[in-house]
Amino acid sequence: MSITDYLSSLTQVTDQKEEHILAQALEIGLRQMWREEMLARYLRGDISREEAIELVGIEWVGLADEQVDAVLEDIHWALKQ
Amino acid sequence: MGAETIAVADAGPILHLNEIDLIELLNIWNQLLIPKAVWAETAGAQRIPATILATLKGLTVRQVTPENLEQFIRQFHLEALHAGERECLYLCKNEDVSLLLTDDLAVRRAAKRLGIRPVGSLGVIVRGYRLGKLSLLEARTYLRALQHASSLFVTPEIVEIAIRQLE
Repeated sequence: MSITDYLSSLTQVTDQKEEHILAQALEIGLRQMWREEMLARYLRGDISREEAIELVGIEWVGLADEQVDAVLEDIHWALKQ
Repeated sequence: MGAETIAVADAGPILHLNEIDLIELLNIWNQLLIPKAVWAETAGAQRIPATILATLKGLTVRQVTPENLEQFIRQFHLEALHAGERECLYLCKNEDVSLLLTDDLAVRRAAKRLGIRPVGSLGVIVRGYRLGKLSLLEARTYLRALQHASSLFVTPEIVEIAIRQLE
């Protein structure tokens, strides 16, 4: 589906005006972009875990930690004899 | 460098490695088992041509008995997982396979609870490098391709963490 299709479908299903849906989409998109950037800074070591938790919440930091642990476990296994 | 012996594969690594033209790396396993539900989610759903899956020389599709599967799901509380994921875990336990290829964090958690080692697409690429099937440059290139050219959700930072481990 294209962006226009999503917009058209959402206006029909939610019975809301396009402007309202676009405003919501912008807010949700910006929140997500902010979160991803903060998590990227955390993973690069630019900010501490505590700072990251304060910025995006423990659930997202925990998920990022779990992803890193998974990759490190995989590599440890993969590089064995 | 020799081949591995046996693994069960979930849909994720099959699709993600195919998206970066590296599915043949799954041939490092002499035997690669997939349950019928994973076949349905991949070739059956036309997310990958059956002819490409057929190039995996050790691939075997297994039919899982529904009654045994239901009991297994209840016993290990796997209700939240998808059909293919449940069947993969069942196959591992039922056929005593200790390695499950999966890119899903929830499946990883479940696999570990069941004493099965989960390995994701990144791990498969690194294993290919370790076994001499890929050069360091190729491994780095494919790891980065997983982030930008496949549907696997992985951030550039995590890929770089993986690459640093190789160097």
